[in-house]
Amino acid sequence: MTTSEPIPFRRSRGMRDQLPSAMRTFRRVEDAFRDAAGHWGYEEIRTPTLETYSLFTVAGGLTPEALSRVYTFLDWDGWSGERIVVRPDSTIPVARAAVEAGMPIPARLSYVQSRFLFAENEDAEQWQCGLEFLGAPEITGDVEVATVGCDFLSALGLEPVLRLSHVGVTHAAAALVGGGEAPADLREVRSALSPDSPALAFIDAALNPTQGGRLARNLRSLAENSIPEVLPALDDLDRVASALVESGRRVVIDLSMPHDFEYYTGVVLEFEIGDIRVGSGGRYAPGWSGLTSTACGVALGVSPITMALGVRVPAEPVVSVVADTPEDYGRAVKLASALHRSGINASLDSSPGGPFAVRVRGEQLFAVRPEGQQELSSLDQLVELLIDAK
Amino acid sequence: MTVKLALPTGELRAVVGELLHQVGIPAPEYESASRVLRATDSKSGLTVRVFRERDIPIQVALGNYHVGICSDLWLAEQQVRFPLQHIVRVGTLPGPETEVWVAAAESSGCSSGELPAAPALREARIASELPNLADLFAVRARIPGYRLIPIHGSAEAYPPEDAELVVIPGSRAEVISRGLVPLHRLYVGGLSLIANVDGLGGVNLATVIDALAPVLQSRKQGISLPRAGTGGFRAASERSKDMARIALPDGHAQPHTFASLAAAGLAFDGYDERSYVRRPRANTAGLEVKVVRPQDMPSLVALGFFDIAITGLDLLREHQSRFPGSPVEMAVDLGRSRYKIGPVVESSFPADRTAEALEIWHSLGRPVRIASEFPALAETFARDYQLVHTHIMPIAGASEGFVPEDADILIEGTETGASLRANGLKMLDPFMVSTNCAIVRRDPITERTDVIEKLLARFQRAAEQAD
Repeated sequence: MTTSEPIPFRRSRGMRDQLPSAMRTFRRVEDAFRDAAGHWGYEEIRTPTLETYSLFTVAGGLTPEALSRVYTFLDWDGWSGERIVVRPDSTIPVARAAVEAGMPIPARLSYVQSRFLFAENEDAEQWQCGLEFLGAPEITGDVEVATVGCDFLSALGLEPVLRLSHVGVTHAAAALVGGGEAPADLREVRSALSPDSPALAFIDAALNPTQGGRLARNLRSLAENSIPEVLPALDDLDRVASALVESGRRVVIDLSMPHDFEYYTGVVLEFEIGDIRVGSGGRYAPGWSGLTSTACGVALGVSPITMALGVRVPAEPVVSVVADTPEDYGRAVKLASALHRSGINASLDSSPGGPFAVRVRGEQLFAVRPEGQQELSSLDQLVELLIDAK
Repeated sequence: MTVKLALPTGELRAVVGELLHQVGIPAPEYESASRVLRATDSKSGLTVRVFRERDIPIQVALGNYHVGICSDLWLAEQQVRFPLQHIVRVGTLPGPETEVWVAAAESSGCSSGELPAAPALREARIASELPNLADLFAVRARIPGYRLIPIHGSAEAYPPEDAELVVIPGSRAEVISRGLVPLHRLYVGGLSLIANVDGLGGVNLATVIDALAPVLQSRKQGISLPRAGTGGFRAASERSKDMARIALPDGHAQPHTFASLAAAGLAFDGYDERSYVRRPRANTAGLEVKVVRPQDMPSLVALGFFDIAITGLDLLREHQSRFPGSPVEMAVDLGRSRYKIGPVVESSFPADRTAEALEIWHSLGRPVRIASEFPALAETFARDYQLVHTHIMPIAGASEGFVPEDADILIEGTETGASLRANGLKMLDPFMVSTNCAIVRRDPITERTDVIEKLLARFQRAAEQAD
């Protein structure tokens, strides 16, 4: 088969184009995040799109499941055997960058960047708004990153529910099971426990997500005799939950939440808007980076937040500036620039289009609208008309 | 619709040929002595194509073939890295069993069946011809800062001085017989019948599946991931700079290398027509010798494992095309093993020059499919000739069977063109001539540069003789 038809180019599998309508919402989300993070003293950081693969394979790094979905390749220096990976996560690179640059710890850092993990749908590249509080003090860090996340979502008009858990609870309960593959969550622990285990009452109660911050405190008495190893985690969780409830946040304690044992070490949290999980995070130990203290971080996805927003950000109107004759182009450009200085978007067009256009003919200006054409006496009159129209 | 069946060449050809004969699948000219790569049975409409084993899962996943028979190992190696490919394991067939072991040198102090603790393997180099399985193992074992060394074979040659661990095919006894300690059996499997998912759903494959169904077995096969290791590990001391290291090739490249060494007046005990060991003895002071696959030599010299190696210019150019920043360069063209490399097409292709062929390739209305054992050279060729939309298909061998059904162009080498003609192919304009050559690292690791210089001077004289 031969043909002169060009072969159509398509975007790569798993990738998504961010068209102008999506970018308007994206910028709104991003601006709200930067404002919220900035208010709490977080400074923005941006890490490279390419990192070394080995950064993510260390224990406490990315899970094997996530590693099986990374985009990895040998770059120009691939003869060295060192593979490159397209950033699959931002927390690890941020900690790496902070240590490499010798930043003083504690450090409050925020980022808006994408991470790449293969997915069959169009979500292989996911943009995230994230916070990393490196060297975050106990409780302070947990409460703060949760609050910044809530402030950010509230600024967008969203009312998040914070779902809280603690890795230490699952970890202590999993130790009761022993042997074999470690259970991933409390439900798996429940299934693996013998029916006469004294910890069953505690786990059955703990498996019920409850609104308000009292669950951790109420579970304490059930745990004291049957599984005392969970008490430090429960106390930790109680302090964080109580502070968040007192500050007016909607909190659900959900100890059934699965979490990554290798990565997280303390309180873990998820942000929910209705049924949509828009972000997650928790306390982790970036020991692999050389940091001896723990850190708190959250990452909120731009796509789920956009879905939760459910509104489209309208495009800013743009005034068409039309040169009537070839000799009028210079004046048309000057007029567009003058409009820009007045905060009005304007572009050159070959014919009047859209809801508002201005025709330039010599020294004369004409406003062109669907209802008709009107000669203008000055630029000021034009600006007034445009502000009214806007 | 014609059913397309991919079958293995090499050691499995006799086993699979016998199996097909037993179950009554017509596979004309697939008997072990035949060199035919493609045949069609006119009665059943079954088309059989012979591939190197590791290419079979790729061809079936691509949908070029509906079903295939190969060692399950190659399917596992593919699926570890590309779990979403459109391929399904239909069942296990009677045939030889394959195991893959993680192994270390005896000098590592490891005990058989006992994996070292992850921290003891910090920055371990893992050599393997199964890089995807090796990577899966290293990730699951959580080896800090491990370095994967993908190779084409002869993994047993690497520990202890050039790798701490290997992931190597073979039974436990075979691993031990190669002087290694088997630490963990990573994989066990047999011969698999595999099918393209879409083919399985949309094509009548009864000719193959119905015939093989009665002999399908329920043998346990698959990957066994390690639990956390607890053992210790004694790493080899760092490479001494007091010695220069030379790599010599095994396999087909040996006869030309023997000739070049003889012309250079060099002889190594254990590396000649009569004897063969991995570590031949050098009569030159300050020189160590090791025998590895020639395909791996440019990378090994770049990594600083060797200071000098005898390999092919084709392999050096492939390496340099892939890694333009590599510190490897040719030191002496030894002038033997001479052959041309260029684009190969079917003999009825309506052009004899590459320039004439461009218009035809540009007007295909789909990407131009280029198959090659030299994928980086193929990519360079496509770039040089501005073939914008191409699919480069790296292949392991049995290349003459790819054109025209599975590829439009083959980037291939030929000495006389006889093999191409026998397979109904022809070469357009060759773009390089390959010879055997001595390669070196721009910044040698060894401090015995005097040894390197003396070797190169001898090779230079040998090259002049070859001319």
